[in-house]
Order: sequence, then structure tokens, then C-alpha cells
Amino acid sequence: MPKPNDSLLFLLSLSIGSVFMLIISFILIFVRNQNRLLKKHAELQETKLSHQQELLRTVIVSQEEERSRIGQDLHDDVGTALSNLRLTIELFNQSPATGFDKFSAGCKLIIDKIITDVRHISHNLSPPGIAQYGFAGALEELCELMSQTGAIGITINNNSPYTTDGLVTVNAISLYRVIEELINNTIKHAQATEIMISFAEYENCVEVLYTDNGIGMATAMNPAKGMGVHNIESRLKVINATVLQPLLAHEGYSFRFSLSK
Amino acid sequence: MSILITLIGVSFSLFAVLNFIFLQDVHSFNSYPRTVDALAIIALCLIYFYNYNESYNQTPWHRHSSNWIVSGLLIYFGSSIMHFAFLDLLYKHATLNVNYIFGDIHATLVMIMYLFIAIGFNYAKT
Repeated sequence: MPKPNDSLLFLLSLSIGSVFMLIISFILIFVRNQNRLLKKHAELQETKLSHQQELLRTVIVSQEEERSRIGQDLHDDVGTALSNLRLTIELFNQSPATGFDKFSAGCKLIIDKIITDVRHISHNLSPPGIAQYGFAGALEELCELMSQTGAIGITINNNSPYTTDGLVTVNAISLYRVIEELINNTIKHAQATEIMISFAEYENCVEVLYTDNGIGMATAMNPAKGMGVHNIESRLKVINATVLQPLLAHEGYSFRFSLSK
Repeated sequence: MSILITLIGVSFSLFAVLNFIFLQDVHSFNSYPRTVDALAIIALCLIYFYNYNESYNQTPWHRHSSNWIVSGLLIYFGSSIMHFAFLDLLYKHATLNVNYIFGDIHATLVMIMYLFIAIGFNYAKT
């Protein structure tokens, strides 16, 4: 065996040096990667938190809006009609000569109006059809009501027995409100003539697809989400539904979400 | 994990005994066991980093004391594994100067390891 000399020194120091550098680079890259992951995670947390705060704000604002709307409805419709009734009775007391029959007919008319107003207000508060006909029936009723003017046609394509029979009332009301809001948005912003709502049932979820043939989201609204969209999101979150990617090929507005069973 | 460490410990001790009985004389440098032990420590360090990467960490890397300690061990044992492998050969055949130079390199690596361990202890304190 030849006696090792300085070339061994060189080779050995080279290998020690290269392994040392390899390990140092490994540690540096590892640390960098870990810190980056940590930063990304923190950012994600922050986004989630702000989104949740936004949703909470929307819930509070819409609750307040709803309260003021109910207050306004009560004040403007029921309040006015009751004042009217009071005035009619007062007038009758002052001059009973006008005839009891006419007075009674007038009073009945006002009372009927009050009854109708109260019914409208209570129907607005909770959709009446859901308890009686279930979600599918209530939705059909809503669509008939919305398309009464003839300006817009609504087609429902319900292939899901779950949405017809399986929904609990709380979820049914939320789903109903979501679709109501979507139809309202279409009527308000989209300049559409046709709305299509379809329900497709899968093994453990129901996919709901809402489309219209209007001008689409990009041109109809600014990119910032409106209150209605936030409302929809928070309602869907409550019933454990996930918003899916909208149809890219579709020209009008499209909204997709899946409801877990 | 503890089973793996016990297994490594027992089999390594056995190997070290067999080594001085059959392979390397007790009066020469035990280069085989030292290399194997460095390999085992490197493997354990890498397992540690793998587990750290897989786990969910909320604090920055440098705040974990064990990260520093394991890095120190990895730097020392990884870098000097070649030195360990050629230790006996160097002692028997290389000049005294060459041996001194490698002794210095080795001492520097030991110093780096202990510095890292010291930083680790410093973080463990808080």
C-alpha cells in the first residue's frame, strides 16, 4: 500500500468541506422554507379571520335592515290603516246619519286591508309555503310569483328527492332565501329574461346551479362583493354548503354551490 | 421512535464489541464503529427534520431549541464522517502535520456543534 501523503489531505479536506457546505445549505433552505410556510399560514389565518368578520358584519347589518323594514311596513301599512279606521269611527260617531251599513262596509274594508298587510309582513318574515308544501313547493310558488309580470321566465329543474323531502326547515328556509336573493339580484342587475335553477343529487351532496342569460357579474357589478352576495355566503355557511367555481363558459351570471346531506 | 432508538443502541453496542474482537484491534482507532455511529446519528437527525416538517408549527424555526441542537449534531457528524472513516488510516500512514490539520478541522467542527447546542440551550431556557 502506498504511503498516503498530501493528496489524501487534499481529498479528505475537500470531502469534509463539501459535506459541511451541503449540510449548511440543507439547513438554510429548510429554515427558509419553514419560515415561508409559517408566514403563509399566518396570512391565511388573517384572511379567514377578516372574511369571518365581514360575514358577521353582514349578518348584523342585514338583521338591522330587516328590523327597520318590518318597522317601516308596520308603520306605513298597518299603522296607517289603523289610523284610518280610527278616523272612520270618529267620523261615524260625530255624524251617525251617514248610515251604519256604509260605515260597517268601510270598516270591514279597512280591517281586510290590515289583515292582508299583516299576512304579507308575516309571509315576508317566514316563507309560508315551506311548512305546508316543503322547500320545492315553496320555491315553485316563489318562482311563479316572480315571473308573474312576464318579464322573466324561471325554470326549475329539480332532480333531487333530498331537496324535495329531506331538508330540515332551517336549511330549507336558508336555501329559499339564498335563491330568493339570487333571483332578486338577477331582476335588479342582470337585465336577463331567463333564469334556470337546477338541483342535481349525488351520493353525499346536492349540487345547486343557478344561471341566468343576463349581462353577467363582471359587467353588472363592480368586483367588490355586494351585501347580497355576503348574505348568500353567510347563509350558505350556516347550512354547511360550499360555494363552487362558477361556470366559466356560461355568458350570463352563474352561481354554484353544493349542499352536504 | 423509541423502539428504533433502542434497536440502534443495542445493535450498535453489539457491533462495537464485535468490531474490537474480530475487526479492529483495541489499540488502533475504531474507525468502523465511529462511521456507523455517525451514520445512525445523521439518519436520526434527518428523521427529526422530516417529522418537524410534517408537524404543524406555530412558532418560528429558530425558537425551537431542539432545531439548533439537531442542526449542530448534523453539521458535526455529517462533516466529520469522512474523517472518522479514514481516522485509522491517517493515524497509521499520514504525517504528523496532516494529522494535526485534521485534528484542527475536527476541533472546529466540534466547536460549531457545541455553539449550536449552546444556542439551543439558550432558547430552551425561556
